[in-house]
Order: sequence, then C-alpha cells, then structure tokens
Amino acid sequence: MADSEDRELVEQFARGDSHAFDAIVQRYEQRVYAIALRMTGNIEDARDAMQDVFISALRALRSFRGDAQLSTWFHRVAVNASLDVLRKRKRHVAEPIEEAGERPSDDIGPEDAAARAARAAEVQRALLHVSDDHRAVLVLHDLQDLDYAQTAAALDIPVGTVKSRLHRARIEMAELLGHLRETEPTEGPEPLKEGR
Amino acid sequence: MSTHPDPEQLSAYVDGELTGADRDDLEQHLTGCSQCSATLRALRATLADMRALPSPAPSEQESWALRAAITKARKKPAERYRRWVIAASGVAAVAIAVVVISTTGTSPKKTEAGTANSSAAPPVLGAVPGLAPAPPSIEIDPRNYTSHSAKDLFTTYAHPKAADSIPSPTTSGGAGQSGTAAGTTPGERQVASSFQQNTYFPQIQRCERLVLSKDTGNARAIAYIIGRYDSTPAFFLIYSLFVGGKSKTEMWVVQRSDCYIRLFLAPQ
Repeated sequence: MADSEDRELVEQFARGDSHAFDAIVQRYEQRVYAIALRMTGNIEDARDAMQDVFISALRALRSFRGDAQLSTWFHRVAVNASLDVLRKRKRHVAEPIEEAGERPSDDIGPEDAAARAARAAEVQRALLHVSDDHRAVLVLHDLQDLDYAQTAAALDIPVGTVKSRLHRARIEMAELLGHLRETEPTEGPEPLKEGR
Repeated sequence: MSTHPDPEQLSAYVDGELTGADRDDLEQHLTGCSQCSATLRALRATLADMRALPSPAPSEQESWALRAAITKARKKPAERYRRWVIAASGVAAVAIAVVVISTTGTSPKKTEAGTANSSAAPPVLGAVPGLAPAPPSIEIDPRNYTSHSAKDLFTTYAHPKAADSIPSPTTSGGAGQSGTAAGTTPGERQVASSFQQNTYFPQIQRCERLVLSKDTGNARAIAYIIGRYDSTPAFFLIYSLFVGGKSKTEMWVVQRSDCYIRLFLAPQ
C-alpha cells in the first residue's frame, strides 16, 4: 500500500504537481531526520543533512525509476547525506546531542527519567564511536526496523554483508556499553566512560 | 560442548531469523556453552539499549526551515544561486539599521513614521548605541551557508554589550509587539522608511508569530539588519531566545514573500 502510494506521489510530482512533493516530504521527513540524527549525533548536522536529502529529492525524483522503492532511495540518501555532512565538518566524533529522554510522569520519576536520558546519551556516544559502515547498519536495521533485505538494498550491499556487519557492530557496541566487560575478555575498544 | 556456531548466528537468533534445525542446534549448544550464552545476553542487552533510544523527530522550527529551504530551491535552482550581499554602510537605500523591541511601552506612542505603537503596529527601527559599525560588506553564499558564517555575521553586527542593553519582549505579544528602543534617544534613532516598514513588517510579524512560541518567553531581538539579495532588499533578524533553561541565538531571513529561519550557535 505504502509503495503504491509512493509511486503515485512520485508520478504526480514528475507531472508537475508540487503538492505531491509536499506529501512526500510529510511522509519521509521524520524518518530522514531520525536517520540523520543518529548517524551524525548532532542536531545541526542532522538538520543540514535532512535539507540536503530533500533538495536532492527535488531533482532526483523527476526521473525516479518506477521499479525502485522510494523508501529505499530515502534511506540510502539519508545515510549518505549524513556521512557527507560529517566529512565536510571533519568531525566524525561530534559532541553528541543531549537526549531529551522521557518527561517525569506518574509512571517515571525524575531520577528514572534522568537515568534513562543519561543512558541514551551513552548509547548515542557509542554509536558515534563505531565505524560509518557499522553505524549505518545499526541505524537502519536496529533503530529504523528495516529487515536484512531492506537494509541491504538501502546500503547497496549483499544481505550476507549486512548480517556480518550487523553482528560485528553489535559486538562492538556491546563492548563500548560494557555488556561484554565482565563476561568475556576481548581486545575490542574500552567501554565508554561518562564524559569521554 | 559442541563446536561454537558461526557468530552471526547469534545475531540472527536474537533477530528471530534463525529457524528449523539451525535454531534447534544453536539452542542445544547454548545450554552447555557459557561463552556463547554470555555473548547472547550481551547482544540482547545492547539491542535493548539501542531500542530504548528516543525516536527523534524534527522540531517545528526544523520542519519550517526544511520547507523554506525547499521553497527556495524550487524558486532558484542551486546552480543559479547568487550571493547574498549584506548592504554596505555606504549604500543609502539599504542602510544598516537595528531594531529594538521593547515591552516597556504599554501606552501608545508615535514612531517617527507616524505609526501608532500598539500590539498590531510594527516595531520601531532605531540604532542602538555601542553597536559595532558595519563593515564594508559581508557575503554569504547560500550554497555554503553554515552556522559559522551566520555566527560571523552575528559577531560582526551584534555586539554583546549592545545586546545586553536591549530589553526583552513579553511572550503575550511576541516580539511583534513593538516599542521604542530603551536607552536610545530620538536623535540617535534611524527610522526605516514607511515603505520598508510596510514591505517587511507583516512578514516579520508573521515569522514571529510562527517561530516565537510560549516557550520562548525571554526572546529578544538583538538586531534587525537591512540587507539585500541582488537588488532585492531583505531583512536579517537576529534573535536571542531562552528555551528550556538554555539560551540560544537564531538568525532569520525575511524577504518580500518569504521568510525562513536559520539557526546557529551563539553562546550567550
């Protein structure tokens, strides 16, 4: 259903209907931003990457092939635009965003909310420490819930490569987050400490 | 203990992708292998950490900035972008001016343009003592418009000491509620022409209504800079906002039929 709607919107846009592009932006804005923010770890970079993605879409979607999936295109371009922004800034390990976390409520007290936000910041920091290739599979598969085939299509790599990268990336994250610290000595990176 | 499985099988198992005999064999192996069991627990804990990350969504301002960028790109393809040129001080028609927005003037006042000062009236343009004089010109290339270039503009035009002397507007009327500049005298004020006010202030006020929310209670205008894009005049607005316990500075660009915001860092 989503694919056919995407296809229809792209066809309408190619015929000159500017409202169709607005609808495409509406459909993909949040997903593109989420990918960009987790890839760059920085709100300004995510904003720049998001703008780059949709400005690229203005040109690219006029000649978009009907046999390709629009979602695949946006996932791929969002990852690439994020990496481009990081390369331009020469800031691969950026100061990570402050995670908003959850607001204290009846269910979650202020201390728990603060602890969750701190943990989220630690996870984002770990994401920025893994390689670009590993971060891309983690963001698309584990955070955006794409399956192996969708992740492979978005990154233009074989499914087998997705599986191996995903496993290595998770092990690296586990080491950085301290989950393998006490159970299995490794030669991987040091676990992240607060403020590192 | 059986031979360790292919490590990737552990991830596939966590993902629910392992089926049939492969899954049975792995589960059998896990019952007797503490090392693989520990790795499996670590993978699950890592996934739980990642999936607990908040799902980020663009803020209203970011969405607005995106749509403004798209609108601009539709009007002028990137290869035909021309440079923004902030007006030089010697260009009479587009002289540098500064707007100060105050909340202190609750009683109606007359601006030099003769406009009654009310919540619906445009802000009064005036010069703020202590502002750094305008340099000959500053060029900003929109193809490479970064927070750094905006920050340069900010540090050039809005001297912090001058900004400190500017009172803050209230939230009730937004920054669109106008008044005369505190600390300025009529003799120092450089009032924009009524043509400029009529041309821009509806857009400025529209931008303020859209951008300044109830959460930006301590918003204050630091500088309104009249500039030009090619031969078309434009306003560059610099705002200091206090949001969520932190202050930040934003730069807006307002044109005749367009207004958009460019955020940038400016530690207060």
